Amino acid sequence: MIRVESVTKRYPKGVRPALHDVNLDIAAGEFIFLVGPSGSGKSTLLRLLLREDQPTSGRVVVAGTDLAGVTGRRIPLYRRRIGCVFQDFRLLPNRTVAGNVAFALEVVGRPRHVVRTVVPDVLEMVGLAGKAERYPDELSGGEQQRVAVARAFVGRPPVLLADEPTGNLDPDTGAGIMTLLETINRTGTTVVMATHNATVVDAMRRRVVELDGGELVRDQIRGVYGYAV
Amino acid sequence: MRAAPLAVATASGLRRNLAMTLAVIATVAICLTLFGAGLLLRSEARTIDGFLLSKIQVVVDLTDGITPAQRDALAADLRSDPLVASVSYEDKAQAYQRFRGDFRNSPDVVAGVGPNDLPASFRLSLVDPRQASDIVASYSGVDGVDQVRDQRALLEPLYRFLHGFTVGAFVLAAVQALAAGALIYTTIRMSAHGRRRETAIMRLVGATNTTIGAPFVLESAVAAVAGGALAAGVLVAAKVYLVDHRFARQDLFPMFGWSSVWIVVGGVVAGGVVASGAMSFVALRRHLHV
Repeated sequence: MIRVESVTKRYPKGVRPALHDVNLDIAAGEFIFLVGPSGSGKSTLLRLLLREDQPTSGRVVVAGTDLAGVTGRRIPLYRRRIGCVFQDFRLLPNRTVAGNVAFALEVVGRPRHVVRTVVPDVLEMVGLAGKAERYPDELSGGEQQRVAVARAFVGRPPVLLADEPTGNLDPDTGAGIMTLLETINRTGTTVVMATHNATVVDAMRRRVVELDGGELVRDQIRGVYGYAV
Repeated sequence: MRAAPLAVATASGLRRNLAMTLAVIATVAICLTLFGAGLLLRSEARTIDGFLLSKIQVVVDLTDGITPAQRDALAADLRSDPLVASVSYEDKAQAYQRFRGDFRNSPDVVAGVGPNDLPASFRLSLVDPRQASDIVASYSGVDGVDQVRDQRALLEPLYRFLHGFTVGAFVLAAVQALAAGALIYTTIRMSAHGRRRETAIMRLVGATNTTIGAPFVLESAVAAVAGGALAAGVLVAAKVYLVDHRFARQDLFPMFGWSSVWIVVGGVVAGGVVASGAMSFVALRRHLHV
């Protein structure tokens, strides 16, 4: 589903590359954790997968699409196949829970009857069926992140990228979000999650890819959080 | 994006920047009013020109000492001149009668002029009255000719007046257009900043550049339409008050009609919407990273 081939990413003012000769293959339906210290290149890799940036050299292929060929007007069409969840939720404060989730469908022109059908279903899935008309500031952090997950998943993307989704949450709430991401993964969606949360990585024992100084230093099936020596 | 969410986003943006939107509407209205007034003045100048050109003549005043042979030769030259459409001769007595008629309300003026004080003349209608200067140059200084007068020159002050007001209106409109452009640019920049979270999310979920930019362009277009409607109202009111009432009784020359008003109103409103849309597009390219 995702292939990263000899990818190097240099920023104009960086003294060393943010990513250096990274190779990675992720199969459809996998759940992988990206771990590593701050500045190791996790977010850069996610930015490349989201086509917010392009590698300096190497190739990134997602769902059969070589991202080097995705330019200009085709970028939005590509992003409709990728769901994103962030540490800071990124919800619209002036929209209700249902409005925030519907927003993702409205801006891509989905018909109203589809929005009306799909949004309640996905809210049911994330456990917020009774809070559709609440506003984000009336929700807990965990609930807000559930809304963000619902928004990311409402278009049923084949790939879901999560950048520190439990970073702002207490352990119990974070565990709830992880359960939710596992549920989404079981539907066949490939999940790539960058995290510093050792507890969830160790508890789930999924594939762990570790970056350090822009280099891939560990790729472990059923791995744990601890850094490679 | 469907129409309903787009309309909601546009209305929300207009509410959020209400003060700036009102400023844009006022500036656009003044700009388009001045521009429309300039166009109507130009239209009026053309109307007057077209009306008067058919009535304007070139007058060749003859000296008192001109011989019949010189007069006949001059008449023959004038009639064979390709620039001249028709020639009529007016002797001193006819000139005096015309003078008495023209100044019938000023007996003091009439009393001061005798039948022999006015010259005999040839009065010419030209094929194209704008070429009068060629006739003046050709026949000035010819034997028996005292002077050649282009009556159109008498209207120069009126033309200068209309031209001056037209240029003034266009210059003021251009200044207002600059102000309106700057306001629209600033409004879009503020709006883009205020909505940066929303647009970032739109980008993430795969909204196209057109979808992201459409509410901004629509906001400007709505403001331009509102400003254009105000300008149209002012121009229509000016036509009703000034042309149809205040100057309705003057019959020196015709005034522009409703067809000119509607053409100008349509033009300035469409021009305002297109110009504001173009300015929004420029501002979006600069300040909305989609």
